[in-house]
Amino acid sequence: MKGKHKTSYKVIQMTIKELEICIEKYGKDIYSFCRQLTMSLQEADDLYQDTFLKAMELIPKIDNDQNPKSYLLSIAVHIWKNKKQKFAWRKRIADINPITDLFMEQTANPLDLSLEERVLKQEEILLVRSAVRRLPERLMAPTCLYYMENLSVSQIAALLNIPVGTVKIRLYQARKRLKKELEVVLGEKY
Amino acid sequence: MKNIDAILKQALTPTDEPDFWLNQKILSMAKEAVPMKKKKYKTAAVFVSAAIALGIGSISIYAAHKFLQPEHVAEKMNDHKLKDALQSEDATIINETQSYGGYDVTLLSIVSGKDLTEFAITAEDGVHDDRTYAVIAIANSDQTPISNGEHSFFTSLLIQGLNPNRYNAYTFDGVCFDIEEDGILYRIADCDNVEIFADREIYMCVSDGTGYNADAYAYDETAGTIFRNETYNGLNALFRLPFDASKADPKAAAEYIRKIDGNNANASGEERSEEDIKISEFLEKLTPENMSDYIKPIESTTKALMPDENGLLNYEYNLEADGRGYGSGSMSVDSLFPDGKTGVCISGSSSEGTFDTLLIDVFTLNEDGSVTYTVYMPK
Repeated sequence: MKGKHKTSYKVIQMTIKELEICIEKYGKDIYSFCRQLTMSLQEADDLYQDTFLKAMELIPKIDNDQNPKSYLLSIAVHIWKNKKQKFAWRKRIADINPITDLFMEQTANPLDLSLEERVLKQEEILLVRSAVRRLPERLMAPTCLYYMENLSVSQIAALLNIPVGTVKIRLYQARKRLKKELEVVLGEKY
Repeated sequence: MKNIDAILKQALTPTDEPDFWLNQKILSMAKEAVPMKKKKYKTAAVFVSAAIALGIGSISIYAAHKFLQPEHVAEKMNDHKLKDALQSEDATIINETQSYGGYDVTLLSIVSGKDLTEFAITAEDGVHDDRTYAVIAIANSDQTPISNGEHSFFTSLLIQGLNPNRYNAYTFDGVCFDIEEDGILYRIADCDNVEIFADREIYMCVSDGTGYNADAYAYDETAGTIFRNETYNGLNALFRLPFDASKADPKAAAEYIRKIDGNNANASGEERSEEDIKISEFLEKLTPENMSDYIKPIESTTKALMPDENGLLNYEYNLEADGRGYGSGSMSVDSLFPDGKTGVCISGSSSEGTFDTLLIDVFTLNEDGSVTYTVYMPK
């Protein structure tokens, strides 16, 4: 994986065991991020797989002080940017993404809700995620990193290699757009 | 409306879990990759002469901008192996600039060979480590800084005799990485090693957009040559790269094309099922004139759509009551109606891959620029 990573590439590689731990610890977060970036199961699987394989090549060892999750996310972002032409091409071939897949997603606490509430909740999640996905790329990535991955503005700035002020402006623009759009579709409920 | 932050936080909380077998596959591939990194490969191949640029008036050998050296671009991308390759005598320094559409595009250097990168691409058929790399610099002609991510550029090697609409970076397993330095965008674009085609003309195109732009270039079906479209207003740089013809391998080239054609014919790489064939045959016979004989509209899905700021039509339908679930999509008006004339465009999709779940999207471009969208189903 290429990119402006500060890690130097020495001879020591992450071991298979360390990779396994890394997947166990951060797999869910990274996979969710990949799903949101690509909005496709196949592409998310590809991106997720490539992210960890590149991490295996790039990260000498897991160092919890160095925020491995942020590092993995940065790898995912770089690969995604790199492959987005190919993703866009695939998207033109199969332009419809059945929402059935998205409906399989779990809500945060499914057992606490009735079936009807769960369906409504899933519908809301779907609407919000779809709205986020329709954001321009420059707004979508910071939005996902901030709300989905709980990264700070400065972490996002470092990860995307843009100034902190730019991240703040992009988050502001994303919120503004999303609020306007979601007010229309969610307005009746809120 | 309640706090947008709370809504976003709730909706975007990670809930997706990677499949167990996907994780196992990654671990398995990682195990296999370790010894692979120790292999010794052949040295990189040689290009014999500098590029000859195509087009008129906007070409210079001496760049107006001060660029990073190609090897420093690779270094900034932390690819030290590629840095070494670009510094070696196997690399061809080109340093040629073409200016179109408000951009100065400079092809800095090219190198081909095996095992030249620390970041080999892994695809379904294994590691792709025999590649051609091009280092490109893109600057605004008015000298204002260019920002990474603000513009889309499509870069691809193209080959004489292969229609660029069909054979380009996508089919050559192309990949690119961008960095911005001092207001200049640097891209390292790589794809499968094209030296096997060295007995033909090989081009490097750099255009605006995210895919091959058929408006920007022209293809001569007879001679197989590729040209810039001189009337195109945007960016459409085209460099011609004379390769060492002795590197050509027509047999391998033919095999490579067969492989691409096979992939194009069946993107999934799987055998087509009877249902696939049935669906394809059904869709192929549909025309705007005869579709009422075969399909019927689902009236509740009819919507008037207007393209958004990116020229995309965003549509969705809800057929849960019919047991057909929900669907949504986004299509470019240009891709549906390339000539911009009013008309009808028909496409089909099946969520389960079966004829029973086949739905047909019908887009009708109206005179006022709106598009009427309706989902149909087989009668």
